[in-house]
Amino acid sequence: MRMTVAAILVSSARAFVLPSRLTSSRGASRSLSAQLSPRLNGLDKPTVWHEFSPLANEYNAVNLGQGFPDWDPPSFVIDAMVNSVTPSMNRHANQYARSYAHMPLAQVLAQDYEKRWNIPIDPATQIATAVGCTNALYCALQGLLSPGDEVLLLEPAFDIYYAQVRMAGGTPIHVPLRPNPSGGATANQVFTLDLYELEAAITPKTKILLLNTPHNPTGKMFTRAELEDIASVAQRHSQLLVISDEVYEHIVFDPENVPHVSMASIPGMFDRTLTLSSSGKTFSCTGWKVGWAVGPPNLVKAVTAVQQWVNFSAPTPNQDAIAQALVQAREPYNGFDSYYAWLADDYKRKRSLLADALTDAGMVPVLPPGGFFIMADTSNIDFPLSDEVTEAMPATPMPRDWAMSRWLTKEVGVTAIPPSAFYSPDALHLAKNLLRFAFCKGDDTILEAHRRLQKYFKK
Amino acid sequence: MKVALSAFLLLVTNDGAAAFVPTIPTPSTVRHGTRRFTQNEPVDGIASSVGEATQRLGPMSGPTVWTEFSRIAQEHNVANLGQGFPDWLPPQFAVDSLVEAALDSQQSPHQYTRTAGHPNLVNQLAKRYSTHLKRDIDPMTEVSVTVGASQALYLSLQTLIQPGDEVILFEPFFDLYVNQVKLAGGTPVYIPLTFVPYESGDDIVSGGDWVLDPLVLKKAVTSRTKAIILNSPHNPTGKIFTRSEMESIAEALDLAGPDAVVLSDEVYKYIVHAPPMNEDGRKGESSLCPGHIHFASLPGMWDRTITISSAGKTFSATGWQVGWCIGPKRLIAPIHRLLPYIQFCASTLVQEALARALPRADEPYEGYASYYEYLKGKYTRKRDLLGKALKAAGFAIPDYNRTPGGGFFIFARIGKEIQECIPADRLNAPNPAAPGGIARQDWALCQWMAEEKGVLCIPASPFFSQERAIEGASDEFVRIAFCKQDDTIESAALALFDVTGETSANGESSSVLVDDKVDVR
Repeated sequence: MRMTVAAILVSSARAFVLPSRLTSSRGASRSLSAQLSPRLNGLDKPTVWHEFSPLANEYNAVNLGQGFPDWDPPSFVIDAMVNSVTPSMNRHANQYARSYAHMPLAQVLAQDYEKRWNIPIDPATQIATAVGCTNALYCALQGLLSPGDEVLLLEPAFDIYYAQVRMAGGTPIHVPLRPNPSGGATANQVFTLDLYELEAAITPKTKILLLNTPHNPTGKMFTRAELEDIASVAQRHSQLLVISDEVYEHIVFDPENVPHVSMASIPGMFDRTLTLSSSGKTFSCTGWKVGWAVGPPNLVKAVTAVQQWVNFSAPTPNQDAIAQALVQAREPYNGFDSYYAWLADDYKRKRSLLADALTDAGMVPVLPPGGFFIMADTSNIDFPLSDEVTEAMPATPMPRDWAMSRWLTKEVGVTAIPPSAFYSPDALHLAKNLLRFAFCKGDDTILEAHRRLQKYFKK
Repeated sequence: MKVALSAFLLLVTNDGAAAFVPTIPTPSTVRHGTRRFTQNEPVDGIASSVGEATQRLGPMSGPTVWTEFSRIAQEHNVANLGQGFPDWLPPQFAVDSLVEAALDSQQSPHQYTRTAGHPNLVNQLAKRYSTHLKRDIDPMTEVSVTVGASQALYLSLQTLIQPGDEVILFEPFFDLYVNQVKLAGGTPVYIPLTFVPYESGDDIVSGGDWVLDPLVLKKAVTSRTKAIILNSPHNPTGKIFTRSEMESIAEALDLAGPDAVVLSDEVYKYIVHAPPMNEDGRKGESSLCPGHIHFASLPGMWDRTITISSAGKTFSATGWQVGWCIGPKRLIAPIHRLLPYIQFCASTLVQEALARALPRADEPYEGYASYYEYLKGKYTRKRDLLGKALKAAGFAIPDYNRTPGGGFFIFARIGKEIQECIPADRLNAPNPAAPGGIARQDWALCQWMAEEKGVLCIPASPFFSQERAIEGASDEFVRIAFCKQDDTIESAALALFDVTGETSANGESSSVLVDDKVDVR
């Protein structure tokens, strides 16, 4: 995969467009790219989603790419929404919410986090709600970063992080979770963080370490020991804050041995950690967009100070419904101790179904302890290379995993996401033998994928 | 710099993965000034929580008129005519639309939708705006759905404004605009609307018109002017910009150059309770929205305008937060690009609910030809209820038989008698939330009325630039909402009447007030 310097410069030319005030004059229009704010630079490329969703549709593939469920939220959650807007229920949830957070939701969240971390949480100053976790992160980065600040991203990282850091004027610095194929069978064994590499990446400009646990796309869950190690690194650099994206926190398969641990609960870290989460993955309602940030007042304030002027508040009926749902979720559900226990069990079953399917295809699934994605090792799979070129692909020629994803969609009828979409340009090679499959799908869907994989690979 | 060097080496020597020099988008105009720490001081050496955005907001990240008066409303028993949202429910058909959408397991609008806007909704919006603007609007490229009109404005500014660009605002203005302009790194340029009283004279405090002087506007245009924010019907004055004023704005836009854009905030357009009287004033109205001229429908202005509106005010559902931008592809496409990174998509469920509610709103409702007619009738009646009370209490208000008006605020002028009643120790008292840190006449009156008279109104000064507020431009005005139940307006009427200590329904309080009045003198 040789590249000339020229090719590199051409492919990254878009990212170098600077505002050309020198060429603007009354009566002469600046070019579109110069006219638009530089915060859009590099964001004109279509994303991996823009490529693979239509492709899956076109080939009628079983779409195990998209990270959202294909079933409805549980009925108690829908009922809560109906309650929120029904006049006779008097929930007063149709007008602007309190900008920081709708108080009924803030109160329930404060209770939940207090119980979990054994730290007092004031709902009025330590909870901020936003339009989903993505929005909470957007506001947090806008509120905390100044141009030139560096943000450590552990890659592979959810593709939106990179863009949001840049939009806030920050510089993303990538530290890899290096896949160690002989490390074992689980995501925690295979994807490890080298603490020396982490610390070496810290400079006086490093402002934020962005953590994601359970991790998308690997499903890795940072253990207490790992978090303590990261914490000691953080504490050696007083300007460093941690933002922890924990949206998959309730989809955990072995809570006794591999529980979900928040960085905020590690000694010494509460005051420098902003914890983010949302309702979408937990309640299978990704279209409701209720996210939140919890932490010390000064960090929560960074979110609200920005949000106040971006959209003022998150939709009230949605916040109000989730406030009710969070209370209900604590109760026994479908024979389990709580809705959360039922949810994790349901996903665990689906994890098995998918892992079987991948194994039968000759792939090696790297079993995740949490979340609803499996990274599969595809080293054993042969497929014909093509010289296709697409707008969204991250490098030329097309990386192996990207090409394989396209081939798998067209020839086998199953769509997965190429993890190179989640890696920085220097590290794309780390993704070449991996594919990300989602199991937030109906059993039938997963079984159909199994059938198709079997049909093709076991010929 | 360490990272850049290693990246450069990668570029030259690597023969494997694609190398790429990280870009640091820092045009020279981005400020790297000294940090100002407000209430976000670092705790024991822990990192500062003040970033660029919060620095740009400056004092706006501290207490504001909204936080102050919300607090007062919570601490006192008041008839609250401050908040700009209704205290009644959305119409039943809107609630039904949301419930039906939530229960629809076929369509199941519970997962992520198209980032640029849910197809059912953008199709509806494109259809309506095709009628409003008399052109074919493409739902996929010329419409964008956002979390309320506030976010539509935010995104428009984020795509258009580079640090140093100027944005023209007509003063008074909704204070959100200033902070959004600042967040985008832009410089607000204030063009005062001129208050032209119906009558003048030393002792006369009368209502009047707020008028745009086209010369003042044109003089303010520079080579840095990138946007003009138009808000009609106008918050806080209720003004309806005339066609001729809009034409001046179009001319100013031409002066500013081909890249300048008008952001037209039209959230109150279905509440035009006093439409322009004459034919000329009504030229160019939309048949679906009588009394309102869409700026984008002016000749040549479609390509230069982002039209912004929302469902909240129209459907008395401000908490649903569904807003939108309509405009040419060249202006909307950048907003589409940003949306995935701001929140990925707006709530699918409320978008679907609105898509179902919109066609129902055109049907006969409560004896009116449509819900929109009903809404206008309702607000007209409440406007008159409040207006009468304000006049009786000694405020001067617009004469809606001669001055067109829309929205649900009355921008009332403080009469002489009321001015004289404000306790001396409140006038010009220090107050960190007030512009310039001082509670001038308008603020002092509102705070006094809220804390001691049982009625809450909003002072005019937060809607003016600080410079003009401290000059006294806002001293005589208060903003009073009538998007309230009749009971609330009536309680407010009694309390307002009480302000000057005139006879009241309650004999006891009347005598107490007489004593107060004596003390004040």
